[in-house]
Amino acid sequence: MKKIFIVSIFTILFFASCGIEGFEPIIELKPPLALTAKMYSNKIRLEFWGANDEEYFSGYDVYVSDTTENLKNEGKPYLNADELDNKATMWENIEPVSIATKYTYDIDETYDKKELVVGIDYFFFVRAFSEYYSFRSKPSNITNVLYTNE
Amino acid sequence: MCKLKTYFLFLTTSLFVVIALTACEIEQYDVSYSLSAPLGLNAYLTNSISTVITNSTTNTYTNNYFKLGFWGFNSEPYFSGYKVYTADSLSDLTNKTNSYRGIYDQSDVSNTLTLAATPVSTEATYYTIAVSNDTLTNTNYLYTDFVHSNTYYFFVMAYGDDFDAYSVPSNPTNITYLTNWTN
Repeated sequence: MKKIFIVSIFTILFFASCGIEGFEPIIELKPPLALTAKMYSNKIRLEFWGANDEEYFSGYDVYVSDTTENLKNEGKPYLNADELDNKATMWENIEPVSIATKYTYDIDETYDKKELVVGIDYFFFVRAFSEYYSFRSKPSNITNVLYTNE
Repeated sequence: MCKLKTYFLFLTTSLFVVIALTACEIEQYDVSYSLSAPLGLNAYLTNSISTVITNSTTNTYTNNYFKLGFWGFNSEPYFSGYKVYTADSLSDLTNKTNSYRGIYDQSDVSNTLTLAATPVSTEATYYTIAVSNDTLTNTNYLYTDFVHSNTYYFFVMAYGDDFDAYSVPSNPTNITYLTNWTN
């Protein structure tokens, strides 16, 4: 009986130990920075720098709102041009890089496809995105521009 | 017979222990101390103007120096500050055999960093560093005085002292030093 008990214990241990998963890696994305906004040919041109070398990095989400507080609390990301929910605002031709890289994004409408309003100050930030983990970085610095349609 | 049974039980038990410990691949966790790169580095020339009155004679002195600005968002617990490097050409700046030169800490807080800083967790921070000929005499950093009309190239890296960890460099920038420029 004692022998059966001991053998049973080790059998259970053997099968149970194989269920222990390896250590899960920490998922992090370096935030894009130095975001600027300016009027350019009747559009808002955003420029920022990124240095995302993570293998699971897949693009950048651009967020907009009408005040800094609203941006932090309720800012909405622009949908990408292909209207794919699982992809970032900027994802085409964007992949992990080993050096600091400058990115540009032009805006001519709000995130919900309405016209930009002349005289309104629009606030923006950008976050790096991983489609694989559905994970976003901390936000870039916030910037803003007065829309003048010039 | 009893001894044989005991031996068999011991052997079986040992076999299970060995199999249990080796059957599952326990992955090694690779510890990587990466740091977010500072970005948006820019440089501009500025000056300080001092007025000295000697024997009723007023003399005005202009000291031109560089100001470097960049954004950083380092929340890593092992982050300790930033290191700024300079070179006389872009190719030298990107040369990993140390053609570039480190810039000495302007406030004398650190002998390894250009700018000591603490981790920030809430938002990106804009940093500025003033670099002048007056503070570039430390022999740890083999730097020579700025020369009029020469162009200098810079980049900055985040640094973690505890693990000797560096970020990738920021974007490079450059500026021409002028002794006769006035703001």
